[in-house]
Amino acid sequence: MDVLGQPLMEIIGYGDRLSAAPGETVEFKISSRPTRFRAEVVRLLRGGAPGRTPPLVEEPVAHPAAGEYPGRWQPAYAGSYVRGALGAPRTVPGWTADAWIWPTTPGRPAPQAIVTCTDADGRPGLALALTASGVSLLAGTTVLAATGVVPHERTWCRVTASLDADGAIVLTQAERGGAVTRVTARAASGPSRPVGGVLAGTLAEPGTTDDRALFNGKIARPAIYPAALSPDEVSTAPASAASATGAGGAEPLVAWDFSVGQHGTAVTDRGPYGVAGTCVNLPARGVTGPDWTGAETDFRRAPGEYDAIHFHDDDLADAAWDTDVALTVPGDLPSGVYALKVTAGDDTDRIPLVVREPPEAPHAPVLVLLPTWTYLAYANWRTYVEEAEQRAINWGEARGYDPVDEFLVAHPEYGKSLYDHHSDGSGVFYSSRLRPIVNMRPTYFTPTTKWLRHFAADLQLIWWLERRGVPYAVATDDDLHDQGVDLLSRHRVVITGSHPEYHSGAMLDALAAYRDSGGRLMYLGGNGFYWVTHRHPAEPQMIEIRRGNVGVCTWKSDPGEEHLSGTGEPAGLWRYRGRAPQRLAGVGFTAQGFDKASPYRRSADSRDPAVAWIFDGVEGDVFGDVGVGLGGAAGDELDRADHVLGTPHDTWVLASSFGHSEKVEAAPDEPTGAAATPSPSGIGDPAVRSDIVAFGRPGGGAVFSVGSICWLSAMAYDDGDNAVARITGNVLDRFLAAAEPVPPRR
Amino acid sequence: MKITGYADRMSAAPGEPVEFRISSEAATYHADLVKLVRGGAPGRTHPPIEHPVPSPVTGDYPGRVQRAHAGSYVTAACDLAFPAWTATAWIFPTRTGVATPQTVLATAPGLALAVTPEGLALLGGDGAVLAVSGIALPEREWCYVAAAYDPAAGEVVFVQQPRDRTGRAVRRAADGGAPGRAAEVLAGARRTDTGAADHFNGKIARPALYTAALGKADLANLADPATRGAAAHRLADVTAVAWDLSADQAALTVPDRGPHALAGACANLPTRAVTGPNWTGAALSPAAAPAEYDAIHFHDDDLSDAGWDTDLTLTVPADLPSGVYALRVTTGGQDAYGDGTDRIPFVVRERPDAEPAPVLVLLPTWTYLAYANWRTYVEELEPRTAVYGEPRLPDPVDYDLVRHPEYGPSLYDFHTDGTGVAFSSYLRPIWNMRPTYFTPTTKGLRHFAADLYLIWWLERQGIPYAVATDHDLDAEGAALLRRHRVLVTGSHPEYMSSRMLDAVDAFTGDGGRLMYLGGNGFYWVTARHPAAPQAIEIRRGAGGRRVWDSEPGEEYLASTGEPGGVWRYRGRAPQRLTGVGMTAQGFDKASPYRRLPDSRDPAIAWVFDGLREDVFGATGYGLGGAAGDEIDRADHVLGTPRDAWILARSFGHSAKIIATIDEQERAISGAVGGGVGPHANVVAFGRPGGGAVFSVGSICWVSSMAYEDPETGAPSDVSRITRNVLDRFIAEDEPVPPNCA
Repeated sequence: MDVLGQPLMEIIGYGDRLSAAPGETVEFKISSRPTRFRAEVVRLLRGGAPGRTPPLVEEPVAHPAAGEYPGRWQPAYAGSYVRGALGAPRTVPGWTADAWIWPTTPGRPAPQAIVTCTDADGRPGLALALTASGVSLLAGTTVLAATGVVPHERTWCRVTASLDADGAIVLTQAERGGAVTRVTARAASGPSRPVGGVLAGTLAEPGTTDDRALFNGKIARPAIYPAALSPDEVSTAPASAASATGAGGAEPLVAWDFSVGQHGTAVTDRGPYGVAGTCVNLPARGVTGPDWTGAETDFRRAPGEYDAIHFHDDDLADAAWDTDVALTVPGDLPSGVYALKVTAGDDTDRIPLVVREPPEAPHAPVLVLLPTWTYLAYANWRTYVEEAEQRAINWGEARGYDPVDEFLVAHPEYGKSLYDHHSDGSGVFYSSRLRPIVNMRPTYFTPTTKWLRHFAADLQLIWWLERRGVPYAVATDDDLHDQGVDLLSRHRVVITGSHPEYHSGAMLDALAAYRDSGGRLMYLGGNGFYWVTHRHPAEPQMIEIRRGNVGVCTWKSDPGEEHLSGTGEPAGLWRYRGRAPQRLAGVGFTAQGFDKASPYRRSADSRDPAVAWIFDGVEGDVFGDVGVGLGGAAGDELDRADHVLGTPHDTWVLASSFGHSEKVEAAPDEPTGAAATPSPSGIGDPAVRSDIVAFGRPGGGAVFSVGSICWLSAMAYDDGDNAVARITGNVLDRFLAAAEPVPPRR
Repeated sequence: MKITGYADRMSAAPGEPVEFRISSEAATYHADLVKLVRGGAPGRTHPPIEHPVPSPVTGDYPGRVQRAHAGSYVTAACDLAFPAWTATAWIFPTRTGVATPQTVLATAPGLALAVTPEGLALLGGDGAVLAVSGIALPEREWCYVAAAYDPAAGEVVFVQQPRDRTGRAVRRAADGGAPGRAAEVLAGARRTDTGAADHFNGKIARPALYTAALGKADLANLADPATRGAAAHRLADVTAVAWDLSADQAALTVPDRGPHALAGACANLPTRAVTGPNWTGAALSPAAAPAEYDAIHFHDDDLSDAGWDTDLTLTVPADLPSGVYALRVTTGGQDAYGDGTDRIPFVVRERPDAEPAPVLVLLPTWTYLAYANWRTYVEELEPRTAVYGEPRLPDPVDYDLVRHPEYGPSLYDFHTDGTGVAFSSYLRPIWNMRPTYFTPTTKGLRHFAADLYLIWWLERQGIPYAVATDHDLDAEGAALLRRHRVLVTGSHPEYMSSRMLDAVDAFTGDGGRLMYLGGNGFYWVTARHPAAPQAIEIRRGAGGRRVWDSEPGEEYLASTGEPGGVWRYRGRAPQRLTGVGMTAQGFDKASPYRRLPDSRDPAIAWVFDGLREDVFGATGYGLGGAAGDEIDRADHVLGTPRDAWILARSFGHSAKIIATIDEQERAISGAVGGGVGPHANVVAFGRPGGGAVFSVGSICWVSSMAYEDPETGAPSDVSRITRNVLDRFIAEDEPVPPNCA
């Protein structure tokens, strides 16, 4: 039992990649409470949560990596900061630390270090910090002096601390537009230990001390001087100014300029010693600094005004565990979804791994594209527990949650999803795969769908293809981002997962190019191709987003912080960059709700002989009124066709869902109408529906889109014997065989 | 309206001329000058109060009807022979359903290429359809279009090549004779005897005309971005005009890349800084990707200047006190407030050499322009009744406005093609900017007519004042304000340029005192168009939080190149300037305020001297209270100074008062009084150097302030509060000490 009295996961881990080709080696990092654990390789054929139907299906795969391993618990350390080392430790006669801060949790009792000098061994020495007593000078963890005034939350404040050779301390705190607080005190002596390194945002790196005093909020222009200076003597210019030299020729030991290199983790030093800094655990860059004017909202166009970094005590870029099991993918292992199944005591964890096809022929006719960036976006989403009550209202019933969600509560250090808030209330921009991700498991139950969602649900595709006997290969979003259209063009048909929501421009380009050069896309999901996303260039295990101020989301961007730090591009919804999902797939996100799913009704268009074959073997006008989980084919998140947003004008709209309850609500992307008051949504709102569409492209390309996350759950109903599965099969057969499967609608 | 008109400016100083342009159905009319003291909608509210002022313009004038011509286009004069005729362009049509042809390119005299429900059409000089392609053009899809007319063969080749689909070229018989010699080339309209006609709705990019009938290969090469440059170069000899719409988006001229240098002039302010056919979405502003913004969006109801002739000119007398005035024009005989009389308002400014009045009233004329001729009071009568909770009939002039679409829409309206309106001009009749205009939203007065409550109140209180406008503030900055001790805003100063925000901030930062007596102020990023200074420009941004959405990639102002939308998302939430910012709106009724503990501190309690109750503002004209219509709240995270006094909070709002979308979905908020639902705050704070701000956060404040008990004539408690603050702001060195609690 853990601290919450909940069942403990005795074993958990992650791989160093989500997909691998034959011949590549995957390193698995395992944390095990028991001193021994067993590992085996399994091929995943169907997802299933314990105690629920249909059950998980997996089959063992013989592999040399299978066997017994010694186990031990490996810790993870969340919290971001910047570190830098001096070439050689320096003795300083006096000492000054100076910075601008925009604290987000100033009221917390625990100290939060702004800038720290460490000794050669990394132990904390003098530090400028925020404590319950206000801005403080620390020696290690000891408070030498404090201003007694806690700065206000989310307000820029310049803070300075100095200590002279005789032990005289001066602390200054000047809030933007507010009063100046100046406090003097006396220490027993001046600076006593040589300075070996500098940290911003923490007191110590992991493993040095338990009390790391991580900072929440923004820091700009942190600097250390080897002399006791007043704020006026320290250069007040932005760090990008020509010189960071203080008055009287006092040169800084370090003067970090956070405005340079927003896309990376390296930090530039404006001081004479060139103490390069490194961002650890990817704090948020590309954020506004103390002198942001608002004239520009793009950091590339006003770099000097974006000279801050936002640190969070729960940032995590890499759990950095040691490797326990190295698995080399055999040359003859068929492409598919696998897992390293590790067992210790009564607990089992299945760490997923996609095995790709070798790049050389022959290639399977079908490629299943697992939306792993979307899995990352939702990785370790914590609100199933945190907001259980509100969710029950949204669903209209209590649905419980997977037990591992409570394990997650006990492990904040495993990081958050892009739907969560940091501990300071700000939105989460980055998500890493180098950490345990408890909800990316074939057994994970999601109350939203009363069944499976994301990875576990997408295994339904695998099950369906296996049963149908159609050869397939599997790849991931990372593979698509890396290889582009070349990955797709080897295959006749590409099938998406149930919720491929997060894409880079390169990924959208690849899918469009595939479709426009004869490829066939089956988009068997809902709310796809929605958010502007990119992989971070310096931390490629992480994706980055900004929510902007539009769209269905759990947080909003702060003003001026809507561009991705990794690429500089405008973020938010692809719709507002002129790439609404309708342009690629014919349908785009329109509504969501989780009480129950609804059926579809066929359109008159669907009777046209040009496309009527899609419904071969389907009786009547209505279908999709059954399904596991929410009980239908059109549910969860829904997409609609819209020519204005980009649905091609020669598209066939084959069917539309109906009968949604008032709990299914339109997305707020639509104008509210001219009466200048919000219009009601819900029942009767024509935007609350899912459309099934098909269209062709010159050159034989074709697209079939269903616009609903629940589609796969309906395919799973009655062991796959249902209208939704039949429709999907009709389309797949024709997409595999026909030269021009979907003629244009005239 | 049997008579109406407009002035050539919104304000004038003594000695400056104001030109009035009048349209009268009567053969003669009478004009005189009146000073406006109070607004009022006769029969619906208390009567207006105005005083005739002797002036040389008083007299009878000959009248005639003057008409306005809406619809934007690009034009250039030329003298070119067209042995044959070809037009090419990329188009993004937005209103293909209408039967009237919509001109893409035209020569005059000559031919025109137009969009019709039957596809592309070649029009003759009389507008007759010579040939149609027979392939309908879908709305809102970029399509390369061309018509190559060979008079010798008597045929035209039409090309329709959608950007993302298979295109077609068709040959049609066309007996139009020789196109002849053209004196004018146009894009977006063609020329008729009575003016520009057959306007285009939608975007046009890369418009070009040729004096030959181009072959299919040339037409195809011009369509393809990869071959277009070389083809254009090769065809230089037969190029009549090839306008480059990507250059200098703030200009109203467009360069010609053809051999004749026929720079085009934009007429009636079409929308520039819009995305072209090859916009990638990688960048969202013309400054970041100039070549991708090579289109102009034309509307058949754009209007930058009604263009009427001047009927009379008033030179403002040197001794005329600063104030709000109107030229009163009447066809005589009727009711003084009927449709035979119009009042064209203008502000008389203080003489630069006069002893400055202690108080400057700043009329939010940009906000008047934003709402100018808002047409939905009639168009959306039914949904509005639901919003109000009761039927409230519009002002009679709103019904008349329906008959005058050519007078142009407001920034709250949609163009006829469904796109939002980005520009509003004062060179046109504006019928809701009148002292007598009734606004159903407030069951009384709003905007200009309501702001006259300030004038009425100052007159009744005997406090000397000067008046200026947003236009003056944008032009002159803080220098305008520094003449005065106290700046008093109107009831709804919503539209502001960065220069205006800077000026107000500099004023209070330098000892000036601001009384923000309104709601939803300082909200939208706005600019005056540098080449059409009679017009302001906005972009609404996106997200369904407003009346209309900007199109993707079209959120930057053409005028200035700056990001548009609300100031909040540029880090300048109204709370930073005034302590409060827009939070909710609703129009069923107004509510009172209740004092908060801050207001008991002796340092600030003087604001409420003379009040016996905790609750105030329970009376008022119109909605019947002080806190209503659009309301603002304090929020430290958004920028309310930490040392501000939060003096009062409104309460008792109905469920019809609804928070804005920004407020509903904000993850982080330092709301003062969070969790109590939509509310307005009254806030005061001081600034180093003696500056001070008092903000009431409600449009209804002035209608409550001016309210007098119908039985006793006693002024309202809101009047007393406002007077307490004004007296202190005029007299004290440091009227508001910091709140150190």
